[in-house]
Amino acid sequence: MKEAHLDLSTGMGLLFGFSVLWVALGWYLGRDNKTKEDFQLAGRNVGFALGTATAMATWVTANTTLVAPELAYQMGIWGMVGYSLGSVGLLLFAPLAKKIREILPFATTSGDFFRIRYGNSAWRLFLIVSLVYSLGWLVSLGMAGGILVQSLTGIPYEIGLTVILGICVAYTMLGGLKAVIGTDFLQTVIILIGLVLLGALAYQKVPSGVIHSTLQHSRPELLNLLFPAALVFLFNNILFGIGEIFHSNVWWSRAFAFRKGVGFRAFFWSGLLWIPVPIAAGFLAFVAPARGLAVPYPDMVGPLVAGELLGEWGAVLVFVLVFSALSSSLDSLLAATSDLVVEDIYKGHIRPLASDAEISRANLYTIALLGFVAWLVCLPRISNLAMVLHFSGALVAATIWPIVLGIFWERSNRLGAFWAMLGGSILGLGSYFHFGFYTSATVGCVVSFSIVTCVSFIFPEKFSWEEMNP
Amino acid sequence: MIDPIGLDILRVMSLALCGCGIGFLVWHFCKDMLGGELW
Repeated sequence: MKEAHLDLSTGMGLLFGFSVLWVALGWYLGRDNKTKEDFQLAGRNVGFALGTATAMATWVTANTTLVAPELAYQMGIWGMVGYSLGSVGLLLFAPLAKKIREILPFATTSGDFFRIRYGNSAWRLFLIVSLVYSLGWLVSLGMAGGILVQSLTGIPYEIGLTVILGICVAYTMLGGLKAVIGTDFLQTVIILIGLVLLGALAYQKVPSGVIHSTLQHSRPELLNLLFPAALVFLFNNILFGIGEIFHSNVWWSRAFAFRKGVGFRAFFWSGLLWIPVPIAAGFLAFVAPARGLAVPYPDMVGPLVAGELLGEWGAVLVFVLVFSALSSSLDSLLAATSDLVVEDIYKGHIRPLASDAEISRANLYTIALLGFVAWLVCLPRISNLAMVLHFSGALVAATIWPIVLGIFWERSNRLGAFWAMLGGSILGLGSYFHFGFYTSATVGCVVSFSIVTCVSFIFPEKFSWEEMNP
Repeated sequence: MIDPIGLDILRVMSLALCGCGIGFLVWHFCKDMLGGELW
């Protein structure tokens, strides 16, 4: 059995080459940044092509490229098709992005919405939820990066982690959101080309008929269109995905950054273009049983199949593909979380009169600090830490309805929103530990919906959209 | 239970749509760049 394993010098060369490319691009794209808005929101003038690519690239994480094959391997057709329904979040965010741009033309973060619409208590609770989620995501990406580099190249985990976090921090500091969005475009194209190449070669070497007959003989449940475990997972995953996108400043900062008239189209098209990605990645997993490959770790089934089909070139392709997917999400998360920390915590709570120059400096320090904190937390490689992201499923799902109703329903009540997020988070977490991870987002969302609608019907507010402009 | 043809269609469609995605993005990138509307 061949393994997807590069020799150390090729691995080092690839890591160095991509590091130089991203940092140089970051510097080039950010060279004209003059104001705070240029750095944080790319001048609020991002066009359709870059807007679509950045939304798509950010949502294609290491999870999509590694976990989609893992899910296909464990849950079959519905595992990967279900994962592709993660695009529902992007599609549903399209009308929200349009409305957000209209009602908050001068806002910078998702925190601004909560502060203005629901007041300080809900705003602070939202900041806790959002920061827990962001740090969970940051840590899971950093760890995935270190593990990937080690498993594909033999470069020690600590070095891979340091390089991946280091270059993302460097180019995000150099170019701000412009660097993030510009590199995202290139990363999206690389990811798609890599997937098509790998998928086409797999198709040529292992036809679908062979896969079908092998699976029917050895693991027929994977071909079942009504695999119950996959269906439960699917529903929870959709809600988790919607919660992630609806609340996170990663997506709100893009809604603010896209030129007027671009937001709806960019998010809609990115959602459509995202649908086939987990399916194309997931099909790689079906090659493993057809080729009789032993899979010691299901999350490495994609790289394993690539190595089996293409030898060293397969490993190179997977490395480039997953490295691009990781960087495109890490840089977005660093930029958006630093905006949230600087605007909502530093300016919102510590120095309300901070000048734009001070904010810009604070942005740079915060990006570096976030990278350093993530590095420190990832360094001991405690796998349970990545579970923080799973815990946050309940928390982010509890924000869905307060956000949607706050945007579209003038009667939505601030106390209702606060208790909806708190109650949904607590009961969702309870459900996580009592029933399992696949129920937490569903419970969080349902509880939150019940609280915010009941309180708002009993004590309706009359909120005017004009007040939302700071 | 999905049949072999259904499996093949799903597989080919996913790859074809990824390919279309590349074309779509590159086409719009060129269009925006020529129209001065990238940023």
